[in-house]
This record gives sequence, structure tokens and C-alpha cells, in this order.
Amino acid sequence: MFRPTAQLITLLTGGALFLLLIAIVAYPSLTLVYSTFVTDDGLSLSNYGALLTDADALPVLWNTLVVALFTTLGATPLGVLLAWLMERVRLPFQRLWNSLLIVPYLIPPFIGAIAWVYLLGPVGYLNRLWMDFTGTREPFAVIYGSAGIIFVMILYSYPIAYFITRGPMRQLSGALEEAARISGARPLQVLTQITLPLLLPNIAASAVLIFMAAMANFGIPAVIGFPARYFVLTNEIYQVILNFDRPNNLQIAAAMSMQLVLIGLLALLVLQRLQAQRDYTLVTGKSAPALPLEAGRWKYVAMLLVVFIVLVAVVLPLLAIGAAAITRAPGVPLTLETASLRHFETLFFDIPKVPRAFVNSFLLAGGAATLIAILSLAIGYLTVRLKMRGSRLMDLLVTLPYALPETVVALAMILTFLRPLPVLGVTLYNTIWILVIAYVASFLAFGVRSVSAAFRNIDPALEEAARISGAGRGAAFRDVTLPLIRESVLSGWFLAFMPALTELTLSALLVSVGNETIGQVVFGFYQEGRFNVTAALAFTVTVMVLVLSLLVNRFTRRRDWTV
Amino acid sequence: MLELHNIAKTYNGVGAVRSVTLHVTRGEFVTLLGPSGCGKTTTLRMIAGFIKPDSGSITLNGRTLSDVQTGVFVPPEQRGMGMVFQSYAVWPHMTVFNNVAYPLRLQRQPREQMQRRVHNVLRLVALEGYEKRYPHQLSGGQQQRVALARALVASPQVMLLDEPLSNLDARLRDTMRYEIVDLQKRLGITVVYVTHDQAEAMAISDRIVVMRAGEVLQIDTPRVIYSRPEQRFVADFVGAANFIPCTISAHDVDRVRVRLKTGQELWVAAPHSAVVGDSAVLMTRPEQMTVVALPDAHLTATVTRIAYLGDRLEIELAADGLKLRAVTTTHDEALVPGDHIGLRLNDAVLLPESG
Repeated sequence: MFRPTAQLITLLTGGALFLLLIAIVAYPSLTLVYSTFVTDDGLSLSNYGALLTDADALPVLWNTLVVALFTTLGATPLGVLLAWLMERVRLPFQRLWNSLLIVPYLIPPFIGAIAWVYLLGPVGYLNRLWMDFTGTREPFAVIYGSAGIIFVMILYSYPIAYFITRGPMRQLSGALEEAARISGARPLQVLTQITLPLLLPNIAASAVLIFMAAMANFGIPAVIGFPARYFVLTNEIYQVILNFDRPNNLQIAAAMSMQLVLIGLLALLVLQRLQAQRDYTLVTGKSAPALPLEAGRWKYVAMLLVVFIVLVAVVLPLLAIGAAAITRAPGVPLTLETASLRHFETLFFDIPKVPRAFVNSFLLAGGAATLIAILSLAIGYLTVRLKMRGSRLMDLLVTLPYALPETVVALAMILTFLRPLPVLGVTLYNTIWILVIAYVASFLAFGVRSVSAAFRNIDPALEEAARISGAGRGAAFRDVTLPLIRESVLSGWFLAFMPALTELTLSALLVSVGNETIGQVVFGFYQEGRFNVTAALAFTVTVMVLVLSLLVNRFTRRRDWTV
Repeated sequence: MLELHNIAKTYNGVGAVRSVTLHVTRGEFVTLLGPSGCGKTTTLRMIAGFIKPDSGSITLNGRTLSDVQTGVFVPPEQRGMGMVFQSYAVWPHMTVFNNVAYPLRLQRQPREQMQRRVHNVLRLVALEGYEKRYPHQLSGGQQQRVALARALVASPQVMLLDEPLSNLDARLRDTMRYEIVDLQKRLGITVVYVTHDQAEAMAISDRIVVMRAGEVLQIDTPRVIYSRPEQRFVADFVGAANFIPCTISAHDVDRVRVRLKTGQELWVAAPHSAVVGDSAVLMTRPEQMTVVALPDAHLTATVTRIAYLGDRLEIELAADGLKLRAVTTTHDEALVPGDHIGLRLNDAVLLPESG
């Protein structure tokens, strides 16, 4: 009886995966780079030349770096400080604060930015309160511009540092800190001389990730920067792409995007260095964790800080969107009599593209996440378990889009799929499929990371034990490995689904009529100045995201299988 | 029964296993012993079918499991073996019952028969009543028993054990090792066992295969391996040993006369191949060195340290630049460091100088 050998199956699966990754990652990336040289007179450097002579080019790069740098400098210490407070100081309602502190991570950043326009726009709630209170006609502060962008970015990116440092901080052997205490160090000295230096690789990694996120963000500067004519690279590229009157606009945009590509790749390189370094830290799971400090009076200071952050990052923005959503019309004061739900009604019954966008986004995000889960399973098995030849290249192809801002990914997709596909003759541009491809390429790394980690955590002997018990390769995978990584595949699915569901940047550039997405519709309403409808939709989306996250948390809680 | 013929495996040009030949008879307990990296686990995994040999053949009861020349290679699931892994590899998502029943389930055995056999084997490893537990609810020793039960449940012809006791604490290790042997003798099963622990190998094996750097150095019973090692490495790895340089001065039918550096000569049992004038090494175990009056001594030495261990006395000695160890169970000698004493070598073994 002929049975295809395991090697043959591996070879075919690996080959298919490579072809797919080449089609959706490598080829678009190369097309992007190639396009930067394409001009009407053949290949030349004149697109870069246009960049050099453009009076705006240098300031925009400068703005991008300023925003990313200051966001990093603000968000990293804030996240680390909060992680330390939650781990080492016992606060009342600890669990509640922890849940609230990670909420900003779940809210789409551009919705957070919109909320802050409601709060600190020229006639925002906080400014009106200030004017009423002081009797002046001058607003307290206006969010538009660089400071506002940085402020909102800090609020929505500190959870990155919080997530990344909190786990290691917990696992850090208590004995390391106790040894410092017994040697005569005060708690604050322990923090600065022992804990933080030990966590330096983690802190540095979170700083790089925050920098990358800030540099790549499109939504916040689009919402807050535009009214002040303050542009960063992502917005500038967006403008150039949509400026169809400008000759070679896509190619010039491609040349501009190379700045983001270079910074992104550099950051990725640093990140991988740091991750390799992290293995050497003295973080062990076995020893007893550090005991919480007796903080005394300082406890209340800590409490105040946590409450302030929760207020600024979660409570106020949600209140602002909620208030704007139920206010009858802009400028009408909100009282019990003037409150109404009519904007929600308008949203779902009078504007057909709104329900359509919900359907589209759920289908798109669900479809992309499912594809990603399947691909992650195959990639994880081939690269981690079988250590297939070419595993490193495959990892690189998976990680590459992760280093690129989504604006750049979208541009690469446009340049690649604007023309009909070779052989097939089908044009994907202006269809929903270009979004599917962009989502899979952009969010694949989330799924692969989750599933690969699960494969790495499973002792190969578990599968071998099944083999020697009489199970073939397939049965061993089905009966042993799959049940053990199911939770991670599921969580990989959600890790791709959640950002895809409310994603703005890719759809802002790739959406076509009839294929609207949630994020792009919210943004569209905002740009059209539809104050209350925007708020109603933003509020709906935020509540939906929070409820979904809560459900996800319920369902993906890992069972205690640790042996 | 299980025959390995010249099997070898090379990784990146380095021979992990170089030409191992081994015949295991039915019901025999054979242990592959050696330091880490000696190729013992690779050999075991070739028997299991997880690693494909680069050359040689493996047969079980005349059935070819692997033969590089004819290209025959039976995958692990079709070899009908049981295996216990170093990490136990008990499936965390299955109950004890399901873990143990898995091999039978793959054979599509009827439910009742399956339950009976699982029950029987769990009784054998003293895990009755644990059927519904999950592995994380069990101690390390209990997980070990689950792994053992799973390896035994399908009545395999051969059971392979890869350092199964190395994750247990010392006391449990001692009881488990005898339980394994008892089970093996009771069931008449053939066992290939891998360990780096020489005491464990001595205690449980019918025969020991001593390996180093991918090669088999000696295959024999624990008794012979200990008392008649063929190489210096074997003598050193299995038990403590003193090595004393000597030259061959004469030989008889089955014994050889050797001269020590001190000029003393003695007869030792040795192979005929010894050539007069060659240098060699005499090996004696510490317990075979006896303290004697100077005129009767083969060697004289100075006591450098004495350790009283209750049941025995360990004496460290210096003789002519050599460090020696003697063990005595008679405590009447009033030895103190610095004493100059005479030593007699009993039951010494002549070994080639190198190796």
C-alpha cells in the first residue's frame, strides 16, 4: 500500500506556506521597494529627490520622531511604575484596579483620541467646565497638536510596558530583593538598584515596542493632529496616497514610507537582541515571590496615582463619549430632559452602511483570524516541532509586517494588487479580499507567536509516547498535541480578531464602497464633523470591545495542566 | 530476540553512535550505561524508531525493524514496544485511566477487555483508585507509575526505559528501581534501560552495556563489569578504582607477572596477549587494598586522610606520586594521617595503559 511519507507531507505543507507568505508578504514588500524607483521616465531616484526638495518632508520626519520619543519617555516609566505598584504595594481592590488599568489597551486608540477631543477640544467638556468655573473665555488647554498627540498616545500605550514588566516582576525571586533589604537597602533603593536593573531587558523591550507603536499609529495624529495641521509620517503618507492629482503619488508615498520601514526594521532588530538577552536574567519560577511592601502613608499616594490614571485613561473618556452620544445636538446642554437615544437609532436604522460595517468587520476579522489560526498551527508545527529547514526565513516573513506600520502595509497592498493578478487576471483592489490579505499579513504574527509558544512548551516526549503506544503521526497530533495547544490556538485567534475588528489604518486606505469596516465608518463620521453620531458609534464600539474582551477572558482561561 | 547489528548515527559529521552491536535475549534486563553524550539515548531511540539509523539493522524476533541496506524502516507505532520517558510524558489532559488505556484504544480493543487490562496493570503499579485523577493531581512517583503502566498495558515484547528515575528524589528512586525489576521478572518482559547512574545499573541489570563516545566498551553482567573491567574507563566509571602503573616482566599460561615501580612483583590473572616489557596499568578496587605489615607489602604509602563512615573506614593515601584509596571494614587499625603503611593488592586486574 502506498502512503505518502511524512517527509513528503512536510515538504508540501512547507512549500505551500512559503508560497503564501511570499505572495502576501515578500512580494508586496519588494513591490513597495521597487515602486520607490518607478517614475514616468523609467527607473530613477527622482521620487526620493521629490522627498528631499519637499519643504514638508523634514519637519514631518522630525514630528514623527518627537511624538514617538516623548510617548516612549512618558509611557514606559508610567507602565513600569504601575506594574511595580500593583505587584509590590498591596492596594485595596487590587484586582479591580488591575482590570481597569488594562482597559486603555482594549479601546481602539483613535476612539480614545476622539474621546479626548470631546474632553479637551476648544469646546470640550473639561474646557467648558473650566470656562464656567473661572469665568474666562479662554479654554484651559486644547488637545490639538503635538502635546495632545503625545498625551493621548501615552494613555493608550502605557499598558504595553505594564504587561511586559509585570509578569517578570512577579516571577523575580523574592530572595533577590530580600538579600538587598538585609544588606541595608530601603524599599526605594531595592527598586532602583535591584529590581529595575534586573528587569532592564524587559523595560527596554517595552520601550522599543511603545516606540514602534507610537511611530506606526495613524488614528491618534489623524484625529488630533489634523485640526492643528500637525502631520506625522503616517498621516502625510495617507494624504499623498489619496492625492490622486499628484503625478506618481503612490510612488512618492512609497519613497516616504521607506523612512518608516527603516526605523521599524531597526527597532525590530533591537527588540530581537533584547529578547535574546532576556534569557540570561535571573528570573526563575521556583523561588518564593517577593512579599508586598508595608507602604504606610505612601500607600495613599500610590492609590491616588492609580485612581488618577484610571480616571484619565478610562473613566473620563468613556463618560465623554457616552455624554456626547446621548446629547440631542452639539451645544445643547446635557440634562435629563435633553438626553436621548435617537443618535443610536439613526446609526442603526437610518444609515445603511453602519450595520453593514458591523457585519463586514465581524466577517473580515473572523475570517482573517480563522485563516491566521490555521496558518499558525501549520507554521508552529513545522518550525518549532519539526524544525524544518527554512524555519528562520519563515519566522522572518511572519514577523516582517509586524515591524511595518499598517499605513505602509496598506500602501504595499495597493501597489501590489492595483493591477490584475498575473495569470488569473483578477484585480483584488477595490474588493474585500485585499483587506483579508492585509489583515492576515498584519496580524499573523500575533497568532504565530501564541501557537509557537505553546508548541515550545510541550515536551516532544508527549507525542513520542503516543507514537510508541501505537499512534501514527496524525493520531499522535490529534490525540495529544492538539488538545494541549487548543487554548493557545483559540487565544491566537482572539489576539488577531480583536485588533482586526476595530482596526482603522488598513481599512482607511483599502476599503471600497459596500465593504466599509467599523473603524473606517467611525473615522468617516468624525471627519464629516457628525459630532453626536460619531460619539454614539464610538460608544457602541467601545462597549462591544470591552464586553468581548471580558468574554474572551472567561473562555480562554487556561486549565491547570502544569505537571 | 532483539538484535542490533552495527547500527550507527551521525549528526553533522559527528558520530553520535558508531557501530553498536547488541543481542538481547528474551526476558533479559539490559542497561545502556555511560556518561552524557555517550550515545546511549540515541541507541535507545533508534530501537524505538524515533531516530533512523545511518547504517546497520535492528531485528525483533526475526522481524526486521530497521535495515539501512534494504531500506526497511518500521515507524515507532508499529514496533509494539512500550517506553517510559525521562520526563514521564504522561499526557496532562487525560486522566490516569485514559493515559493508560490509550495504547489499547488504538488497538480498538473492546471496552470491557480494555477496562480489565487497565485495571490489572494499575493494580500492578499500585495505582488502583487513581483512575479518574489528572496527572497534575499526582506526585512525581505516581506519575512515574502511570508512565510505567502505560508502557506495560499492551503487553509489549520489549519495554524501553530512558533514565526513568532521574527526576525522582533519592529515596523514591531506590524503591522504584526494585519495583521495576520485580515487575519485569514477574511479567517476563524484555527491558532495555538507559541510565548514567552506575549504582542503578549494577542494582537492576542482567547485563550492562558500557558506552563512551558512541562506542560500546564492554557488555557483561554487573559482576564481571565491576571485577573484570576490560578498559580503564569502564573500571573508573563503574565504581571507584585505583590505577597503578607497572611493566610486564613474565607470563604464564593464564597469568602475568608484573613489576611495580617499587620493584615489587606479583602475579595477576590476565590475557595471553601481554608482551614482556610492555607497560600496563594495574587496577584494584579500594576494598581490595589491604593494610599489611611492611615486609608483605606490594606498595608502601603515606596516609593523607581518614574518613570514618560508620560501616567502613575510607583511607586516602599517597604513594610515589600516586593518589590511592582504600576502604576497610575492620576498624581496629589505629591509623592517623602521616602513618607509613604497607598495602597489598588483592584481585588486581591488568589493563592496557590507555583507554
